[in-house]
Amino acid sequence: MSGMSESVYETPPGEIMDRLMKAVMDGWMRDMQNSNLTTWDFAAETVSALDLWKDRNEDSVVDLLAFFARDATGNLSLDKEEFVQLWNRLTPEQKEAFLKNLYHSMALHGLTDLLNHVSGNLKLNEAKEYLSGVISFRDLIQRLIEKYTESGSRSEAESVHAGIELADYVGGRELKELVRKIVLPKLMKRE
Amino acid sequence: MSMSSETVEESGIDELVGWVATHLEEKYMDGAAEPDKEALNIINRILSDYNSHNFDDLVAFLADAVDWRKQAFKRRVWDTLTDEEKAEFVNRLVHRIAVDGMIYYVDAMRISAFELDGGVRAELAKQIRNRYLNGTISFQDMVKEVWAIIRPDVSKDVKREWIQDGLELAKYLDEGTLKELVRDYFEE
Repeated sequence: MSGMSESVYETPPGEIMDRLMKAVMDGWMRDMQNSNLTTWDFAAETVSALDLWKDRNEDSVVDLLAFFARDATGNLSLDKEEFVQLWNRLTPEQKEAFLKNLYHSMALHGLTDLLNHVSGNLKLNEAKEYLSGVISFRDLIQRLIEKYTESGSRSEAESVHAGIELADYVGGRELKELVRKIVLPKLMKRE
Repeated sequence: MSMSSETVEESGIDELVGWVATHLEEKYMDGAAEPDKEALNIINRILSDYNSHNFDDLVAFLADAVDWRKQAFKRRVWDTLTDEEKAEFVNRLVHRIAVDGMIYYVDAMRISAFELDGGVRAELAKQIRNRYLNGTISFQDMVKEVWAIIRPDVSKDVKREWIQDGLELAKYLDEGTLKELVRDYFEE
């Protein structure tokens, strides 16, 4: 630990953020896999838990992030003291940027799994309508929700709603790219 | 639970403990804002009097709990016990109050994690609980980790106090009992 505390003060913020990001994301993935929630629900729940409290109680945000970091594999893992030491080296702006990147990474994971999961319930023309800008991503998810609701899958309908929340943390172009890569090939193969 | 003076004289330690504990719980814990804290107060009071041989105050406290006159409780209950039985009675009474306090405590964690928080915090609390139940972490670590993760609306100082209460109560319980309580009461 003494070596750690010395080196922390020499480490550039960019490297600190990378180190923290690797630990948090790896631990988060493991915790997500051990949970009963889907990737997209876990992602949406984590992002909202962090975003809701970041300006009200930073301690609770640090506790949550440090928990994930501790659960990371092998050398990626950070104990709470190490995490806090690194976190405290960041300026408020860097912390904000870190969280923004974290939300983005979690949202990408969640949306990737969500689109893989729901693609069979979409129609090719719906995906094309979205990609050509006729309908929004929210509209696309809303159609899925309606389909699930009509077929009596209320829990699926509720879960899919997480897609709308996660889409806020991913750029419009990136979102289209995901649909193009994940949904489109499956639908074209089916046609 | 009521006992006549005759039945008290004839009853075993188990029944005595049950009788006194029920009254202590009704008087101090039921309806209290933090029953687990009340349990600790009761335990500290009993042990402090017993360990310092302040039996007069101990008898007065227990008699008051069961709504008996002090002299009656002394003559018909306390004085009928041998020194070994008194020690056994006190130990079992403390254990029983600690179990009841811990049930409230674990239930408070359950409500906080699964009813007040939910979402990812509840999921993580479940994982921490499972790590305790499968022997990866201690009860002490479980309590600290769960409170660190849940209830972001509560200040660190208050949480520190809650953690301390849980760890204090746990001192009076064996590992098997603790695991059983967590398994039964820290459930979604």
